[in-house]
This record gives sequence, C-alpha cells and structure tokens, in this order.
Amino acid sequence: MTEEEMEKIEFDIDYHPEYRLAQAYIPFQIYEEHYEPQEALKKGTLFPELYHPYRQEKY
Amino acid sequence: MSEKQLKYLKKIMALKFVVLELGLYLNTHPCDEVALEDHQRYACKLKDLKRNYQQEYGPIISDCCYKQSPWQAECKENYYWKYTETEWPWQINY
Repeated sequence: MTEEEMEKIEFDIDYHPEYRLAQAYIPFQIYEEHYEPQEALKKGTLFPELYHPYRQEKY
Repeated sequence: MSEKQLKYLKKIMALKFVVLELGLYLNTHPCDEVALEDHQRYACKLKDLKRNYQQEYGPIISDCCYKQSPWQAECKENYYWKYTETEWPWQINY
C-alpha cells in the first residue's frame, strides 16, 4: 500500500465514520415535589424523579 | 449516646442532606423560586437545630470548641478544647 493510499484510508475513518457518533441527552429537571428529609436520606435522593433503586432480577 | 441525642443527630443528618441536594439542584436552576425558598427554609432549620444540639451535647465538628465547659473548671474561660470530650457520632449503644 502506498503512503497516499494509507492517508486516504485514515481520512475516510476520521471524516466518514461507518456509524453515527453517540449523542447524550439529559432532560431538564423541574422541581415539583420532594421527599421528607428522613426519607430522602434513606433513599439517597431528595427528588422522586431521580429515585431508581436497583431490583434484584433472576436470569 | 442517648436515644434522644441520636434522634437529634439523625434529624441534623437528614436536613444536611436536603440542603445539599437542593444546593446541587440550584447550581443548574439558579432562578427556581420554589427551590430557593425551600433551600432557605431548610438551611435555617438546620442552623437552628445544629446550634441547639451543640449547646446541649457539645460540638459536632471542630470549628466551635472554645466555649467553657462545666466539666473543665481548671481551664480559663473560653480556652478549652471541647471537641474530644463529647461522644463521637458513631458511639451508639444499640
């Protein structure tokens, strides 16, 4: 492979990726209700919309 | 540590967490009036509770340990390190 061909491949990888780039999206939080202090400390968050406990699942 | 003191301490911990959480939210929502009001309300409550607790049970952290203690009469007034005299938060008798 010539140096010129090598460069062309590199160019293709850099500027024409086979897959789309990832895009992160975070919805804007809106403050509406909150847990009582004791409950918030127990759950690890003040905000009900952010409370997502892990559940044990069988595979 | 008595049950009453532990209950008090737990209240302080919970309020501290709420103030921290609201603070994080306000970092990205600095004009949210409801959150601002709640933050202020909880921060004031926390301050009162901490002051009352420390008057009764001694310092929580070592930033206010100079008040004279009744059990250290040999120290000059306002010159006494109280921090190590009180119970640690984890000294709980279950």
